[in-house]
Amino acid sequence: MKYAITGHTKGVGKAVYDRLNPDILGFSTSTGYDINKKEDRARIVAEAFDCDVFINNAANNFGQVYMFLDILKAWRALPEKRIINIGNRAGEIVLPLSHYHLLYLHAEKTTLKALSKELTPNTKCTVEYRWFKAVATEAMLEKYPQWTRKDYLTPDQAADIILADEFITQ
Amino acid sequence: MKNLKYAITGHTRGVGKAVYDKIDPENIIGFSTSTGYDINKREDRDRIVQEAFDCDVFINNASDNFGQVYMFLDMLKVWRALPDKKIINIGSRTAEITLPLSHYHLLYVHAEKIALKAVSNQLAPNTKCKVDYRWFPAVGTEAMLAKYPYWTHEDYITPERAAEIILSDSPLFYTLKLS
Repeated sequence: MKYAITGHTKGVGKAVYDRLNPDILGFSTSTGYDINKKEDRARIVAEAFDCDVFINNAANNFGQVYMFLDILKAWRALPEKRIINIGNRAGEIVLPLSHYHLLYLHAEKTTLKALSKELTPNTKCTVEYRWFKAVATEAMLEKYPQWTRKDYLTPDQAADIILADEFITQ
Repeated sequence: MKNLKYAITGHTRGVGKAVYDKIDPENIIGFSTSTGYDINKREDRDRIVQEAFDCDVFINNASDNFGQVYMFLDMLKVWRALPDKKIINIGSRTAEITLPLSHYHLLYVHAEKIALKAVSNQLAPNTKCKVDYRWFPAVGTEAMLAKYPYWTHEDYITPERAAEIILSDSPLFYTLKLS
């Protein structure tokens, strides 16, 4: 199996990448691929075309939604391909009015989830949406020092969920 | 009863124009690319939000490459705690189908409307302002009739009819009847 993943230099993406290397291509802003730029997404689609699994992990201001649409367009009629969209617990809640600083993030994940579901009845490739509870990346632990061990998953546990044959709803 | 004040995006063509023309000019503000407001530009959306703030109803009609979703989010952010305000997101029949693989040239349009519908439904339960998502069958705007010359009157509703659906107090009635 050959994999491709976006956002492979940090957090959950890095955990997946490190586990599958060298059978995985990584695309990150820091390595020259910005998912918010159409031309960068076109390069990702071209370079990942021969992979079997595309893990759409990097999230930034609807860029993840565009990334999904662009790879789906190229893979939609290919039954052996698989796209895994990485969601977030934000997509599972009704956003409280006090948390509107998270509005764009929430809307991006809500959209990704809806599109994963709405488009798949017709696609030949497999499309999945997987999400999990908070992940203790270095950035998150610094932001929420009050977190205890039961509040989060490790990046490795998140990688297990992403790469498992079956998605178990959290 | 005081007259409601409306704001609408995309008021120079099609359905948006029909709505705009139906309401007294002093009670509606229009925002279109051709009048200097591009919903895909953050700073233009900021100006729209500011200028529409005192209106009662915001009709989020113009649609272009997820700009309509951003417009909704930006307007909602400032109106979310105001119970007298109402946002009407204008959807499309494209969000009601599963896009056939042969129609992927419409993928972005389709995805934008799915996104608008999903985000409207997901956020509305907590907002104090009202959030509506309304859609209707194909509309026989000039652009659409030029594109589909074989359409008969059975295939579409007029822009005026669409404007009625948008401004009606009971959209469900129209939606059920027409779908």
